[in-house]
Amino acid sequence: MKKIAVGLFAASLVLNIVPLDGTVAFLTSEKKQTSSISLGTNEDVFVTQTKEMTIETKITKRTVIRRTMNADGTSSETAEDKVSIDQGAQTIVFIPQRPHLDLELENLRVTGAVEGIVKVEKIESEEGIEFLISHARGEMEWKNGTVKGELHVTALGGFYDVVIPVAVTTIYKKKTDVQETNAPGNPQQPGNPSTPGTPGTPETPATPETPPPDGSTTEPTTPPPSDSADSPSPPSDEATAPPTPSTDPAPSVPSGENQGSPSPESSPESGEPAQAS
Amino acid sequence: MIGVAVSLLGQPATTYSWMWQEAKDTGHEFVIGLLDITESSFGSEWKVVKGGNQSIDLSKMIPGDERLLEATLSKGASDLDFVYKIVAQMKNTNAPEVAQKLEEVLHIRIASGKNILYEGLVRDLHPQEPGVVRSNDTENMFHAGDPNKKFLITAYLPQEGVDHTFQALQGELELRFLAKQVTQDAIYAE
Repeated sequence: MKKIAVGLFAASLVLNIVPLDGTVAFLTSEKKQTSSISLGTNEDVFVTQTKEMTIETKITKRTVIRRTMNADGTSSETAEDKVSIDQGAQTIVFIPQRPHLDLELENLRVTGAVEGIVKVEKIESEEGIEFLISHARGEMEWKNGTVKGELHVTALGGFYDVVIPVAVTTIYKKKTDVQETNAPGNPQQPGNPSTPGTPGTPETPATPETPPPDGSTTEPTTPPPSDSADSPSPPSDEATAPPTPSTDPAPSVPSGENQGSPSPESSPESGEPAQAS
Repeated sequence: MIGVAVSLLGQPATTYSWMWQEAKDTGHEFVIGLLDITESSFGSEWKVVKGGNQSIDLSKMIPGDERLLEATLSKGASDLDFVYKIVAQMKNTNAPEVAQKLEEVLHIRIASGKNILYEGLVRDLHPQEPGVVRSNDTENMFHAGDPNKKFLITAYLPQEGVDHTFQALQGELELRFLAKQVTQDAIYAE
C-alpha cells in the first residue's frame, strides 16, 4: 500500500515536471480511397496465336537425260534441268486490343542467322494486322539446311515486346530421270535430211543429228527459266543454272560416241560432267 | 495517502496552468469550431476515357490509356475556413519497389472545372514534410462559405517511356483529401 502511494506520487511528480510540451492540438480531417491498379501485358496490346515460325522451302532439281540410241549402237544424250521452288512462307496475325493500335514494318525486326534471308511484308487482312514472312528468293541456298533467328516485334514505345523464334529450313532434292529412245527411228525424227547418211559413219550422223536434238533440247532447256519465270521471280542463281544444261548438249555430242556406256555413272552425277567439261 | 491526494490535486492544477500559459502565448492561435471533411467522396468507378474494352476499369492498362475518377470535397458540417490538399501515392504492401516503379510512369491530372490544377507524376503528389506548401492548386484554401468542390482526377500512362519492364506491375493507388485549420503552424494529420 505504501509502495503504491509512493509510486503514484513519483509518477505525478514526473508528469508535473515534464508537461506534455509541444502537443498542440490542431483540427484536421481526412478522406481516403484506394483503388487497385495494374498494367497490362503483351496480350493486352496485340494478340497473336503464333508462338514460333517455321518456314520450309523445297527446292527440287530434276534432271532429265534423253538418250537416243542410234541404230549403229551409238547414242547421244541431252540433259535438261528443271528446277522447281516451293517458296517457304508463313503469315503472322496480330489482333490489336485497342482500335488505334497499328503495326508497321518498322515495328518488326529480324535478327540472328535468318536476318537478311527472310522478307517481311505487310499484307491486307481482315482478321487483324497481318504480315507475310517469306524466304527471300535471292537468298536461297541449294542445299539442305536450317537457319534460325528471331522476329522481334516492338510497339507502343517499347511496352509491347515480343520475340518469336523463326526457323528457315531448305529441303533440296535432286532427281535424275533417264529416258531412252531407240532411234532406228532416226527417220522418225522429223526434218532430218541427213538421216540416210547416218548409218555410214557415226560422226557424220552425230553432227547433223545433234542439231535437231540440240534444237529440241534448247527448247526444253529454255523452259526451265520460263518455268521459273512462272514462279514469281527468277533469281540470278537460276539464270546462271540454265546455261550449264545448255552447254551440256554440246559435250553430249562426243558423249554420244561413247556408246552410252557411262550412262549409269553419269546419270547420278549429271551435273558434274557438265561442269568438268 | 496524503501523497496520493496531493499528486491528484496537483496534476490538474498544473495542467490548466500550462494550458493557460499556452493560451496567453500569442505564438499559438486557438481555433474553436468543427472541421470534418469525411463527407467528401471519391467516385467508386474509374471511367475509361481512352483505351480498353470496358467502360470501367483500372486494370491492365497500357500506354495511352486514361481513366477518370470524380471526386468531391465536401466541407460537411465544418464551420470554419480550412486548407485542403490532394495527396496521391502508389502502394504495394508486398513489394514496395513495385509501387515505386509504377510511380515512375503513372501520371495524374487533376482538373477543377476547366482548370488543370496538376498534371504530372503521382510521386509529386506525395504527402510532404510538414510546412512545405505546394506551389500548385492541389493545396488550397476552402472558405467556410464555399460550396463543395468537384475534382476530376485522371490517371493515365503516357504513350512513350513505358517499356516492357513495366508490364503486369500492380499496386494500390491511394488518393486522399487532407484538411487542416488555417493557422500558421498547423499540420496535416499525415
